[in-house]
Amino acid sequence: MIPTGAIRKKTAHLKNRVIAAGFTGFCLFSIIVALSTQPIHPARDLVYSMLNQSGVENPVTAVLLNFRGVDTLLELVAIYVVLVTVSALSFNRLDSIRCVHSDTVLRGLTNIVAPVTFVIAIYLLYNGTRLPGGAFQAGALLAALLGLIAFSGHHHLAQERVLSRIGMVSGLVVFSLTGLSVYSDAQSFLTYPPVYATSLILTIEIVATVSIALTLGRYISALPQSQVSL
Amino acid sequence: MSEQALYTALGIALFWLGLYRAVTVTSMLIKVVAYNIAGAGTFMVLIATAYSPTEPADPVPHAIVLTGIVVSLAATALAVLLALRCQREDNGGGRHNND
Repeated sequence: MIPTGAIRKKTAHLKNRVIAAGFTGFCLFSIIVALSTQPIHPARDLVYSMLNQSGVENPVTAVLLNFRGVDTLLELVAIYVVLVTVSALSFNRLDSIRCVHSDTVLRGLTNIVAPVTFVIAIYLLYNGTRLPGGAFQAGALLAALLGLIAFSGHHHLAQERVLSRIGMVSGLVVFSLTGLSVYSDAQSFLTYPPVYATSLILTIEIVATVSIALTLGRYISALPQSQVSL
Repeated sequence: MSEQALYTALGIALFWLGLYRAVTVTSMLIKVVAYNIAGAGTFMVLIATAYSPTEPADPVPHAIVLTGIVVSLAATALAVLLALRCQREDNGGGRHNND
């Protein structure tokens, strides 16, 4: 008589094979469909024709912070909502991260890497109006740096509770207030007047960088430092 | 076959590969990583779509991908923390029962 465990294992194996066959079929079907159609770019000419009114030279930044500013605002809302949940589930308190793996090598590496990363982040942020770069890239880089600093046992300014919380919501608040402040005389929400567009976008980008860096850094520092086996 | 077609096909393959692994595997961490790979495949298809051989690239898919990367990072952080909490609850409960 065959043990039931073996039968179950065999059934699971068969099920995986059926799923694999189905997925391969779907994959080939979607590749054929995708390659037989030409991609269309309905909004590209519109973006390039309006670029000189957006206040920035880089079309991606123009789309992100001017033409589709609402999407970016909602993205900030999304990472803030996740932040609330992450803070509730966090393994470490923000102001007192218990450092398990604090060693000299990690500390030394952080001491060297931190200033360089900071300068590169500022460069990326500054570049955002002309070349690829901007708030998200700089924010992600700074968030990685914050995680590294937290786990190497250093203390930094972002671990002050009040300061950190103000920084985290500042992106959302400043973006919304900017959107509302131009919400007058038949202008819709987040429609910047072309005269002020550059300075408004730069302000939002700088504040959003701080906000994204602190929020994403909090995601990283929420993880436990030992006994991780999933 | 043009580069654009190659990247589109590879992106779609990556998406289905990640999805297959995410559906079949039981380990939570591998599941999260697999979903991330599927997401990377989606981003690759979008970026390949933006390319055009004669005109400058379409900035709209680039902006969508930039937004998507940050949101996927947030979703990953949440998923990993939930998985770790589940595991910790299971282990902690078992240990208390044994003691």
